[in-house]
Amino acid sequence: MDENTGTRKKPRAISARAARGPADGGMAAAPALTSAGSQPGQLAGQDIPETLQVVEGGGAKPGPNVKLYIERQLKSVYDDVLNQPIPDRFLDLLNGLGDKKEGGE
Amino acid sequence: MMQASPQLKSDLLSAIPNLRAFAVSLCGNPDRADDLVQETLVKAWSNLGSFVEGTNMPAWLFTILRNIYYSEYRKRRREVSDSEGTIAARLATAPAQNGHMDFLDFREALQKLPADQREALVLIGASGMSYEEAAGICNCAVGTMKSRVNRARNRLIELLSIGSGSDFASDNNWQTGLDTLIMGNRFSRTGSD
Repeated sequence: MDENTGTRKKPRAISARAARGPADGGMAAAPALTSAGSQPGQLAGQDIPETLQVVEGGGAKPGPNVKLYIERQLKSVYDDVLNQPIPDRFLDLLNGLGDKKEGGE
Repeated sequence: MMQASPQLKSDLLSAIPNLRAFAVSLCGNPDRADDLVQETLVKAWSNLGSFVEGTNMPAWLFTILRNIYYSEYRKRRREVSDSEGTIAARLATAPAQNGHMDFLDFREALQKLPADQREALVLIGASGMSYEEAAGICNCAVGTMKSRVNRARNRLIELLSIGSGSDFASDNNWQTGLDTLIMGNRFSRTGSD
């Protein structure tokens, strides 16, 4: 599975800003990613994630950058659901519950 | 049984988005997650007597949801674990285009974590629960919760090939790690579970 990671020999500049979520502007800087010969077809035509913010000072081990990255992604995944409108079924459910006198049984 | 105050009801209502988000993170399947939330609300409603008004309603509800999930999960392990394709297909309302692949990859990686680690990470890192609250919800010690969060984070780093995986340690280049995250993970998706 790791052979997929052949690209590591060629670090590219990722200069976009943080995985901050949808509203982030300021992400013009990704083109560096698309250049260069990675494995055939790997990147061509793909959307390049542009939201990775590389905070200065990253080291070799999972430091603040990686943690930050994970936290942002995690929040983004969670908030994706969190921010959805409450489905009607739950509104109906709560209304219905409110009308009942006693629960089942 | 009892008269539930309007306040309680509105508290239930306002907890729903968090419950849904937590449920999805637990079971990885949006439909199943909403069923879980529904069961949770029903159960909470019929047990409102055991809720001490003024205490932490979300944590109480999370606990109920989690208990339902794990009691069901034991019965229906197979179905529930069908997360991967389903979740990507159903929930693809990802944050715009930017980082879309990242988003999907991350979500998949999250689903690959052991359940106890995943819930710890989600509770602490996303839901806004404190360690104490999370420990209460998961019925474990605070220290246990902390170590689960750490292990979850480390496991994610492995899964996403970022950070210090052996090969990268000497590279000393965080960007390389990210690069690999973008590319490598994308193509290792077919990998086993």
